[in-house]
Amino acid sequence: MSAAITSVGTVTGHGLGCARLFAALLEGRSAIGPVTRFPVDGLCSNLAAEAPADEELESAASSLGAVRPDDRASRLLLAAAAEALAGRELESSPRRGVVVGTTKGAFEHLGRSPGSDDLLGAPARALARAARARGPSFATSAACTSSAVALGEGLRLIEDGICDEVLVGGTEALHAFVYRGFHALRALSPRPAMPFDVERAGLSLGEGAAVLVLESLSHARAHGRWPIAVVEGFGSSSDGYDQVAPEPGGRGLLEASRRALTAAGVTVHEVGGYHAHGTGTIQNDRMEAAAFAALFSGRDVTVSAIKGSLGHTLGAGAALDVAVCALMLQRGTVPPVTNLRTLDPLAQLPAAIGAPCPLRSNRLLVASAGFGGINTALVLRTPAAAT
Amino acid sequence: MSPEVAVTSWAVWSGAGVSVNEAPVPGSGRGLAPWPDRPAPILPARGRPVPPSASALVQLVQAILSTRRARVVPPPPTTVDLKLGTRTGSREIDLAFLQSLAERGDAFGSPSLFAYTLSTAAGGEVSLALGLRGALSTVSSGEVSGLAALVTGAASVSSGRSEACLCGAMEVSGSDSDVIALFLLEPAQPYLHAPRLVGWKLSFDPETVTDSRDSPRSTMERLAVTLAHGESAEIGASCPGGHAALLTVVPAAGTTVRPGRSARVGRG
Repeated sequence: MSAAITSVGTVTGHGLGCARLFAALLEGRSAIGPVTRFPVDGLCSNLAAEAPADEELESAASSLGAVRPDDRASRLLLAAAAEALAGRELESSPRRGVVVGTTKGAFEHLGRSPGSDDLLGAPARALARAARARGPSFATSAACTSSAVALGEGLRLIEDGICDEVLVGGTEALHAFVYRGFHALRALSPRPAMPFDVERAGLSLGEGAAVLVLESLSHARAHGRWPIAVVEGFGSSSDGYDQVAPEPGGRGLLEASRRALTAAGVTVHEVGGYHAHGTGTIQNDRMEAAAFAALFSGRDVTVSAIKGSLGHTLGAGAALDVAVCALMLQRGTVPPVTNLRTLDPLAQLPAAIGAPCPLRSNRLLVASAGFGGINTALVLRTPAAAT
Repeated sequence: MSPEVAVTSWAVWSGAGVSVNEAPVPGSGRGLAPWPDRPAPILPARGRPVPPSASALVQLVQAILSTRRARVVPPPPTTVDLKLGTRTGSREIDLAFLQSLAERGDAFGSPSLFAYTLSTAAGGEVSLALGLRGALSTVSSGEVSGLAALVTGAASVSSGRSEACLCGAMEVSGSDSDVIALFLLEPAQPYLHAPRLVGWKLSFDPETVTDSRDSPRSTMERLAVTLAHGESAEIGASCPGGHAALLTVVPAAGTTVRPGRSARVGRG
């Protein structure tokens, strides 16, 4: 069983839309620059990848109708949804679901109203209203794997026959609260993040959203839609090592990857690309290199990563990763890892450096890792491989 | 793969007290009541401060798993997922971190406190303390978040994606509606003499006016009462945001079905 990704929409520091995003990735451009939205005096970095202003987001989302969210994460999500849903007739349907991953949701409303508010669920509700979805609608949160978990839930809803289509999203707004928290952890880099580079100095935060329309293959065919890519399997695990540091040997990520491969019904030898979580912290990079080595046993598997370009968008990160991977599969091209020049000798991965390279496989593994020891993996392939 | 799901152990902790595999303790109170007068679960020492809500979750999970081991043979599956439905998320710790920034300055936030400003941080503590290696996430859909976690957990167990799933509601914000209620779901098997979930559903309709008198706590308590009394019932809830959830519960196989009480709340 599997689900087709039939359309994608994104909003990132590179602006609105997948075309801008993928062009920037191919050029190795980074959207990480000085923070303008709140003061960063006295903090260990002043950088982040900020998405377009609220007015631009609202304008982009106007095609979805009268839903006007009052929080930035929902605005980001609806702007991405407007691209993903362009040209579709959206009749109210109990067979359409919505699952959205986020870590802080409508965080700006914290403390403004009674504690009964569901801040995490606000973006999912906004999207369900805008898309007239009457099937299951909920938010998932699992630290930086939040939207990978959302994709896993969306895949389940399709595979179990509960929904014909599920709008799966990830969204995260850049908040001063989170920025100051990552400063407290001493995790922010004073220069744009350099995943897997020997000179890396931490992560850069970003904000953004992605919406992917998952459909059953039969539903997509019936409506004349050809998949961009196919989601084959999802796996997750907890490593039980630390609240903020990953297990150094990568055992949690390795287990999640094996579970995803089992769910997809494929072996690791059928996977030819690895899309890394790639935050640019030394702990993540070396953990991920260890997991990669254990999983692929020295095979030449092309590695990609996007957080040097988009920053770490936390709950939106995995959805953006999968959106980019779907585009990679569609175009057969792997963008270089932005800001990677010299590989860390202790995090040796066959990463794409400096220039795009051909994707020599029709199947990718997409990895995510988060605080609390949560690890996830998704298996994607080209639709041609399905037949 | 089993289309039905067994509820092999459960526990509810509220301001009134703690109940394990029994009907919930009646009463009220702000926050969570003290752990009752019985041998307290032994928590591994981690050498760092852990928020009370995270410690409480670890205690309750340990109680559920140890009770399950004592009651049923064979032991529970080795990989147990943890799925918490939450409307309030990490609100209390978020506010505490904001307060610390206000008092100490933007550049001097507490890193250990910030680490718990995620809705899954308490669940991560369970993984750390008790060695659970399954999937971990929270589910949010307004007042029906706890039921939504049960619906998604039941679907995962039923389809064979999860070996077992601890799921339910976790709402801890220092109010009289605080609750941690968890239900251990496993594939229904003949040797598991346990009540079962035989149906589950989530939906969304923002245009339907709903009755929102029932809180996450009362919904979880109704489910626990139904399980404890060996009843057959539909446990449903909906909320003004438009979310609705429904679980269909039946007694253990071979049990005389007792008349079902009306456990449906809202429009279900």
